[in-house]
Amino acid sequence: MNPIGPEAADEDIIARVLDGDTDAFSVLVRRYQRRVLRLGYGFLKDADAAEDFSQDVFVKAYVGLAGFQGRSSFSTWLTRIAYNAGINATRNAGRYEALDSDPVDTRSLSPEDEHIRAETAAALRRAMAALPEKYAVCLDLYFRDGMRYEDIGIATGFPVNTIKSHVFRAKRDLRKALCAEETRNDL
Amino acid sequence: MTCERFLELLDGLDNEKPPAAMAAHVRSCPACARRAAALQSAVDLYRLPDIAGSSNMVPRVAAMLPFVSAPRRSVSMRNWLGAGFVLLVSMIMIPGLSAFMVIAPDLGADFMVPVSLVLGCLVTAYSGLFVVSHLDDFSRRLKAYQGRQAHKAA
Repeated sequence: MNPIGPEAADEDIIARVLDGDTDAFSVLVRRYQRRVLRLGYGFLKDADAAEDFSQDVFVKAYVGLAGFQGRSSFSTWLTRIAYNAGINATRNAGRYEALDSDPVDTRSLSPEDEHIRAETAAALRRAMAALPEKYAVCLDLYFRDGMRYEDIGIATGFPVNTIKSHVFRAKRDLRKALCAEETRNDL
Repeated sequence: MTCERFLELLDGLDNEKPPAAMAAHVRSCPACARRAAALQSAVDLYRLPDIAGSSNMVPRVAAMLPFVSAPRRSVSMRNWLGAGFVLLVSMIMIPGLSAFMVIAPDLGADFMVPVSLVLGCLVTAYSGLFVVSHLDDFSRRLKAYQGRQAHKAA
């Protein structure tokens, strides 16, 4: 079997894995590890525990891959597995907490960009603080992962309209914070 | 479109490209264009890899895969039962088909033997495939049942 390229579509990779090409699964792991790790980190608040969590989530996804019927995208299906695993892992030990934005890979950023990133993180933290805890994950999935309302709804089970209104408010607050920053810079 | 309406729509965008009307407003309004670009660039910067994105899970996951059962293409239980139902209905209906009624008297009673054999083979093949493809499932359910019984007994 030819090795699968990093650009391959999720569906093609899944077909390869189901045909017995176990190595192809690593492309999916590489593609979605960031999201799963962050969800694990958000639920467990510990880097080592988040890695164990992610390993379990990917193994669970691998074992159940034949059950993926393509009704949603693979990323949404995987996010649902990770979200449910996070809820189960923290049933008695707290809720999701968005990861603090402490960048490690910002050496290439200009001081101005770093400042904007910090402002954005602060504005989103404020928005998250104003939400019931359980919805913080929706803002993370929207702003960090670029997921759409409907996919977030499928992954978390929250009503789409609720997600939409929380994201709407967060985005409005962020925009106002950016606008205020711009005004300060102009003065 | 007014600037106020544009900003409202901007806040409601679902991680998607703005519709044509918004794009047209951006072209004619530098202030809104600046606001939209600032928001987009802030979100893009926020999406850069963070502390949780620095780990590489590939080797850890790959090391576990040989120890778990590999995923297999499977037919759902509903599809299996659907196929069984269609087979059963076909068996009942074939002797009643008008084409069959026409040729049956010409061929005589002996014709029923090969027909029954073919239908019997089909049922045997279906049942065999059903059992073989669900052995894992049956064994899992049996274990779960035994576990529940042991739990009750304890």
